[in-house]
Amino acid sequence: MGIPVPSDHAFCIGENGDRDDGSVDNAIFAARFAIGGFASSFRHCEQVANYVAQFVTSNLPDPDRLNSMLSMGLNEILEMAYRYHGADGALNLLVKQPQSGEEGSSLQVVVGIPADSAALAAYDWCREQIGHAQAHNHYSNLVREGFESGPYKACLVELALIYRVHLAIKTEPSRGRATVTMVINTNQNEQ
Amino acid sequence: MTEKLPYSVKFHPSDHAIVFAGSLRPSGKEELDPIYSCFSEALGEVSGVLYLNLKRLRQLNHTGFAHIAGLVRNVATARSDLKLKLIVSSVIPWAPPRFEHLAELWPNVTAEKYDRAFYPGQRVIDQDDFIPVLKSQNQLLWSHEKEYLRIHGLQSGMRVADVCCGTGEFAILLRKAFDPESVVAVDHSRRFLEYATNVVDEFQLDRVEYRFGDATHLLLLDDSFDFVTCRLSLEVFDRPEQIVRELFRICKPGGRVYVTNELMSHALGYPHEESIEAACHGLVGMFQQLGMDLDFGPKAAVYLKDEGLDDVRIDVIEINNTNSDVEEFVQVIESWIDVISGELAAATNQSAQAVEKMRSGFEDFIGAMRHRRGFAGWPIYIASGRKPDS
Repeated sequence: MGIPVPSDHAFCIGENGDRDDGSVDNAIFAARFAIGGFASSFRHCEQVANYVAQFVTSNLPDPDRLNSMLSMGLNEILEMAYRYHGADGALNLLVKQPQSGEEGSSLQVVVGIPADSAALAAYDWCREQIGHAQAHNHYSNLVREGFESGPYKACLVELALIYRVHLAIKTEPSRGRATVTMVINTNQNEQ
Repeated sequence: MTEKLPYSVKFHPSDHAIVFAGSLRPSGKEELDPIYSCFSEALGEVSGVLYLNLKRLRQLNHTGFAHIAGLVRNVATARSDLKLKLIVSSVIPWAPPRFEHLAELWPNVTAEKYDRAFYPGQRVIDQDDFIPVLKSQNQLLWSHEKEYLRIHGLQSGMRVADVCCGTGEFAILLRKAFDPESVVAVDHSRRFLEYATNVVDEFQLDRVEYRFGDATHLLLLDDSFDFVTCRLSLEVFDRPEQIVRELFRICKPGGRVYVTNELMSHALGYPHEESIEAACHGLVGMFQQLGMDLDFGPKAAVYLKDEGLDDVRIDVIEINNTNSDVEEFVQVIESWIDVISGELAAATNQSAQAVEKMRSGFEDFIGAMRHRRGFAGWPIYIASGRKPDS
């Protein structure tokens, strides 16, 4: 299932050039971080992921399971942002629960990241890996070789291919922004 | 000062196991020295099989996974004489797909969902057939048990955990009768939890929360509940001490752990006492085949003491046809008949003759309940203990 790309008139968190797509209808959590402050400590990734996951899932069914899954997924996106970002701008984070029927029963996480050319290339690489016809074989090869050709940035590939999390990655070189959208099914009864 | 790592890793030579716990989200290899050391130590000592026990690893980022995957790859390719078994829990949702993928890449690596192996009877108990059994048992027991709960220390305003909550009625009844601060009820059956959640929603009850969990590796914090219950459940696990350890862990110092279990072979009735006795013993035997002990009742106190609980108290609820609602009691036995004739008989390869004999014995049990001069009794043992102040 593809993730619908938010329309142009969608409300955007952030200001001016830092705005990212993502309607705040049904928003549960929204935050904006100066990228310099966010990237000043690797531990921020885990702290934010754990806090947001706890906050968002506390009133949802099976909160422990969903918390674990959301924290894991969001942490990977934030670690990617920590390693691949531009020098200035804001990291925007939005978590929402789409209306029933729009995405089934799910949580949508949108992370907008300021991105320089190296960062844009890393996000483009992830998108290409995920969308490749031989994506699973490529990922298996990455594991076999110890992730040497894709250190760190393979985290998003793993998220999409191994956890079957719906992931969309958009890069906008003209704005120097990358947006990662993750959709987690809240009714996964996988055992 | 050295910062304490948020994860632990330890090699257990006697088990051939490297055991991981906590949150492993390193920024790079420098935070993973203990893991590399553990692997090095283990590979120098073990032969045959090496277990990677990942059941209590709550979080793992890609960087941590990449390094573990690299170590697995090195072992898998350099030590073809060694089998690597990756043990995960299905309660941690991200763990099975990640490690099962590793198992697909190398022939001497396997991944196993621990809790599937630990709950040998789960495939039987998880059936819809068991919902009426649990419902009717709860209904019958509650009229007796609510008084014993008070005697064993349950008070209003407490934080209560009900581990192995089944279909969840007990949590609801407790919430209504004792007005606790909250009740967190955990079970490993999604089918039962779905049922329980629907009931709570329908009754519009707050402060009752159902969670999916493994009773031997709960995702609940240490020292967080005043009263921890586990009812009619230790008897259906072949390693009850592992659950008791968790009940102890999540109980606050000064709080109490409360468990109930049957002594099924001592259920009795007359007339037709021999037929009834044979049926009850037959049921014990069937469950034994699945690693369960329906005679666990009086043994529970020892497990509580062994875990370190003090002030251990024991009581027996003698359910019988003179102190209980006979029709509720009948419903319990009818639900047993349905179960032994169905999934349970199939799972334990019972002959049609054996099943018929048990069915007939339990029908005699029902007859004894309804008989003008008959008697039918079913003993349930309660054991509770206090967690010492730290």
